[in-house]
Amino acid sequence: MNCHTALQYRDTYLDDRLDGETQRAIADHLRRCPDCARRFRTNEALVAGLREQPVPAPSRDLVAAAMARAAVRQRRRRAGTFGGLAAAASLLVAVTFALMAGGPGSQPAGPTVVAVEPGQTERITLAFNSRKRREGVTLSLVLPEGVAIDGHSGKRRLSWQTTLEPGRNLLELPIVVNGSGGTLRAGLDYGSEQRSFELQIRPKPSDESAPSADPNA
Amino acid sequence: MTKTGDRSQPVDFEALMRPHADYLYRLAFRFTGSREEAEDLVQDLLVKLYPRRGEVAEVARLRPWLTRVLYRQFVDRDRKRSRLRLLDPRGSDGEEGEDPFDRMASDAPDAEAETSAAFTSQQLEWALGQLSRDHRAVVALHDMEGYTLVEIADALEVPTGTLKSRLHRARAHLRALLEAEGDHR
Repeated sequence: MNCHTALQYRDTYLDDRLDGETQRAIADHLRRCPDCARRFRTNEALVAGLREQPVPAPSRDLVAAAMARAAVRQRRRRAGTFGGLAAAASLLVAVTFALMAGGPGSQPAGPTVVAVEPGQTERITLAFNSRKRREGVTLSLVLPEGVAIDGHSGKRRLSWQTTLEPGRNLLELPIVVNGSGGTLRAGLDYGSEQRSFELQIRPKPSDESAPSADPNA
Repeated sequence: MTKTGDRSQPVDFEALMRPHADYLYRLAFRFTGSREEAEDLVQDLLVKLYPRRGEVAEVARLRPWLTRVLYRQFVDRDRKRSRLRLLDPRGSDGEEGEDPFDRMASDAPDAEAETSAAFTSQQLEWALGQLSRDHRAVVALHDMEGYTLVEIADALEVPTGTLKSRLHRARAHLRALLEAEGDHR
């Protein structure tokens, strides 16, 4: 074996990808040729050095940071979807329910008031913010007389089990107001935590032109 | 109640990805050579995968799949940047032909001009930074992370023969760079 041939096998020799006969021929050449032996050692040192290249620790929790960014994107998408609904017939009431084990909840300072066209179905969207994913949350509504949910007329109490995802969770209610309206009470039960929220729904006087809301964000 | 993304079983994305986070970051650093770029690469990938978490949860062999998507993301980002690199003298990353950096012993300069047998971390990082992205990726996966060419071929969906050629040329390029750099000291 000559030097040119031996050098062509430099990488495969290092990676142990040669058949036994070729391997032996190269080993024999390296014993006799100090120049090739030096070149082979250089190649070995190169790969050994690469293997030992350090990797600095990341500066942050990449998964947590990515999920926070993804949640922001998702909220923006939802808000965009909601914006596609007819604004004149939709109200968004955002309530922050900070569900944290052992932590303080965020209660609105007073009841939120919304005014809706009497006798017509108006969509009111409740937004529940959660910092974490919460499974098995019980959502309940207690409706005043004169306020009904379209499709559930006659029912004053409604409840169901749901999952709150991190970020904003939207619940759209098709409300019909007859008479003088009243106070809708919404409640969230999660384990030992309870949060409640009141929404005063009143009929819009006939001289008002559009629904209005005084959201307590 | 409006829920996020997937309409079937909810997927715990954090639980799905956390076992792979360190690996992805490590690989991203190998590809980019920069902590900041590696963090951005991994985070962008995770944000991109989050809406598809239902699909990701169905992947049978997640790590090779993640290797492939991370590599593609690295390639896409790299294409968008203009970086000066010391190119192969033929000016391309073609796979054919003789390696111009391999020389016969009789063509070598004075033996004393040969590179010393040890390289500093800084020298190696500098030389790696001069490689094309494809060459850097195969060196990262094979020489730095210890994957076999078969495993890399499977992950990146690139033929083994192509990878062998890239590895050979990448090492030759590194040797030439380090030898030239050593000459200037």
